[in-house]
Amino acid sequence: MSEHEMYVAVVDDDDSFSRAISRLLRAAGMDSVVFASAEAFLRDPTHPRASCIILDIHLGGMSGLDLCRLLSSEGHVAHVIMVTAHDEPEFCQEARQIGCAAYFRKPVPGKLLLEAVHNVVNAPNP
Amino acid sequence: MDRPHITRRRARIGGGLFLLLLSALAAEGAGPPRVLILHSHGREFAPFNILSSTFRTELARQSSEPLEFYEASMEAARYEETAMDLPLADYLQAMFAQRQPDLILTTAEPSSLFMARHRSRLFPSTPLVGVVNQRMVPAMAGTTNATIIPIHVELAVLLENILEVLPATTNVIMVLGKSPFELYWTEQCRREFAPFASRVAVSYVNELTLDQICARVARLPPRSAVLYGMLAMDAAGVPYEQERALRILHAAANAPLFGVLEHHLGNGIVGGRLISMEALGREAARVGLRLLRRETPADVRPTRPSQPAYDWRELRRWDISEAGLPAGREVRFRVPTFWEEYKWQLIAIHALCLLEGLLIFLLWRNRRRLRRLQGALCQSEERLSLATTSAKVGIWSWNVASGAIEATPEAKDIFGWGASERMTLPMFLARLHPDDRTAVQQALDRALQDQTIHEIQCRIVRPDGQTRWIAARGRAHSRDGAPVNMLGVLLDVTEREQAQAEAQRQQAELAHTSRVSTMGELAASITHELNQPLGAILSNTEAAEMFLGQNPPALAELRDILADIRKDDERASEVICRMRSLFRKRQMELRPIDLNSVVQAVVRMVSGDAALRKTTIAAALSPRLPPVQGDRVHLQQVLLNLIMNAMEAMAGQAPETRRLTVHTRLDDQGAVEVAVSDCGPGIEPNQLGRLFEPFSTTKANGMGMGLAISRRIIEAHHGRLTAANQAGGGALFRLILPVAEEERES
Repeated sequence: MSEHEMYVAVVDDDDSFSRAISRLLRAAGMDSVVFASAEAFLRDPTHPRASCIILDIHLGGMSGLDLCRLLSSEGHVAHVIMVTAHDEPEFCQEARQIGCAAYFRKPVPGKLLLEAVHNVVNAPNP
Repeated sequence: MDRPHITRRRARIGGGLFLLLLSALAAEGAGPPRVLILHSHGREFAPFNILSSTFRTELARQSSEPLEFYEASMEAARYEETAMDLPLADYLQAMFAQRQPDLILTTAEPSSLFMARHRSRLFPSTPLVGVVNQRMVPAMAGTTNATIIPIHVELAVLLENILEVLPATTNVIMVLGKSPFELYWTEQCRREFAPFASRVAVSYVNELTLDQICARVARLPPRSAVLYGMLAMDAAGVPYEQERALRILHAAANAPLFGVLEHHLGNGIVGGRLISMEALGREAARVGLRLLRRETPADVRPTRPSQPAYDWRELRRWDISEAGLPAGREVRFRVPTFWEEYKWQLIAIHALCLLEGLLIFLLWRNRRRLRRLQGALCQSEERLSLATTSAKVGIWSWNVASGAIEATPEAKDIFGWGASERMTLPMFLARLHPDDRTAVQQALDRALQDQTIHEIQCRIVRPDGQTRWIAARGRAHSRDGAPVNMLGVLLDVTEREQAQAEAQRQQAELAHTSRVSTMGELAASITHELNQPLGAILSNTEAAEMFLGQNPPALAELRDILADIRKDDERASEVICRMRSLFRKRQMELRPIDLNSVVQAVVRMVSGDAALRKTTIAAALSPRLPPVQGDRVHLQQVLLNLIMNAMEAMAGQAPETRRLTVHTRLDDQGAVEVAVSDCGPGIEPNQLGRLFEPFSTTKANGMGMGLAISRRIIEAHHGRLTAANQAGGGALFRLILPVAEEERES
């Protein structure tokens, strides 16, 4: 992956799941970078290049929703796709309010997720 | 006229007095001593006959040598006083011509005075004993060689005798005859009775014949008495010897008779102070004996009227109470009563009757007691029977030696035996459930060894194929150290066992329900835990499909994917396994477990939930905790319940204050403690007391069963579950469990 190329960030504390998503993206011909927590993602200097973030809600420290709010307050506009193992409706509602592009419950069908990623990546920057 | 009494000696003496006198003089000093008794009124004249016969008998008895007695009589009652003096004196002189008498006794005044008159002629050297009325003693004074024994006749005493016994007496008939002797005494009476004239009228019967006297005394007015002096000769000149008249008068009289002399008593008189002729005779003999031995006569002892003596028959006849008689009295002629006569026989009969009565009483009492006991026994038996029947308790007794079992119908019924069937130990053992037989036999052996109460619970299989639970309690009894029999009770506890099992089942059901509802609360956690691996698996599978579609397929990727899928699958099934144990309905099984591992498992189980609720759970576990006897799943449920409650309690506060700690430690008493503390608002004081009661809840949608069931579970573990508020705020629940037995022992 070149220095300026855009990539898909996968932020999830479940590394098995992260690995699986990253494989799926690879199979679809997309580059991805995996982060185990929101903090690790923020620490990475390349994170503003992430064209899409596949984000879990429950992370070890900062939650996915918090990260989402922080990024939008800092002016980083990223296309966030929420993927969570929880199915509380309030999370879904909150995610939409913040402006997430999509909200999925694990296990998420690969076709739907890849469609959402394509839509986000190919869409013009907001 | 009676002939003077002459002894047989007279015949030998024969005719010529003088010749005889001479020969007598010659023979003086030889032969037994001669005693002359000179009667005044004839030998059989009462009362002096008693005097003379007593004198004679006593003298003969007391004398050391044989005595010759000579008797002669004045017959004074029938002749003028001195008319017979000379012939008698001549006669006596002739009688003792050869040898003079050695002792002379004169009875009564006539013969005594005769001797006094002719003493110079009639043997002045021979000692004379004269028994005379004391009134005539002076007339005897100066008589040569004479000892006088006075007869004390107190005439006043005679009337006093009557008045003492019958104080109401106003009329007394004085019986004395017509002889000079009696007339003399009549005169004496008239004089000496004079002082009584105001009280008693005394009349005399000297001028009446015995028939007339009888007629008179037969019709006496009330309060009369007859005083019998003597009746030697009545007005018609008829003589009556030996108190014959007294007996005739006694038969005729309608009033009580009194007398003068002791021998009157028994012949019809009531009695009183009487003069004893026998006593006078004895005194005369005593004095005479001394004189015969040529001793100086000792002082004459006065013979006074005797102690009052009475005839019992007369007292009865005249209805005179003995109580009124003077003190010191003697009652003679008592006819023995039936009692006195047959005293011993009567006592024996009475004693026998009494004994028999006592025996009967004792038997009756015994019988009554027996019946009462029988009644009580019956009642007791009835009560026992009622109790055992209604409680369906059977009583049994096992004879160890014979193996026979006596049992009540209830006991037999439990086994399905007929009431009349005989039971034995092998029969009992045959009915036992095969699985229980060995245990029961061992229990029986143990029970026979010690004498304590043993209880066994076992199953029996009845003939109808039914399996029943029975509980038996019994105690062995031994004699001389060897067990003889065993006695006990028997109860069918099948229903109880079933009810217990049912209760356990229901409890397990409830616990399960509660657990399921708790699990419902954990749904988020479970979903999360399962969805993670499921999500990974799905994505890996789809990625693999896509890699397979490439040319050439990325086999290395595929291998990694498959490895990941396998791992995630295992992760999912681990989650399911963990959860399934909580969902499953099961009985409580106590076995040694490590509480720390239970705590860790629960903390892991709720970690997802805790994260969602933004609650921090810290576990401070004491290392090397001894195992406790417990059921892992049930204890997990309790802990889960406590942790979920704590998280719920802190839901309304800031996330950074939502802290929950689980401690484990070994407490001072050697029990293991798990403490769940939170930083919530604590338990309301009014809730603290009934926190563990069923349906007590502070949650809007809670059942209120969680803590109640939790406590039941912990109590089933012989542990305690307590709730308190911490000093620094927040609630603290303590779960204390005893250390497992094996562990404690080691």
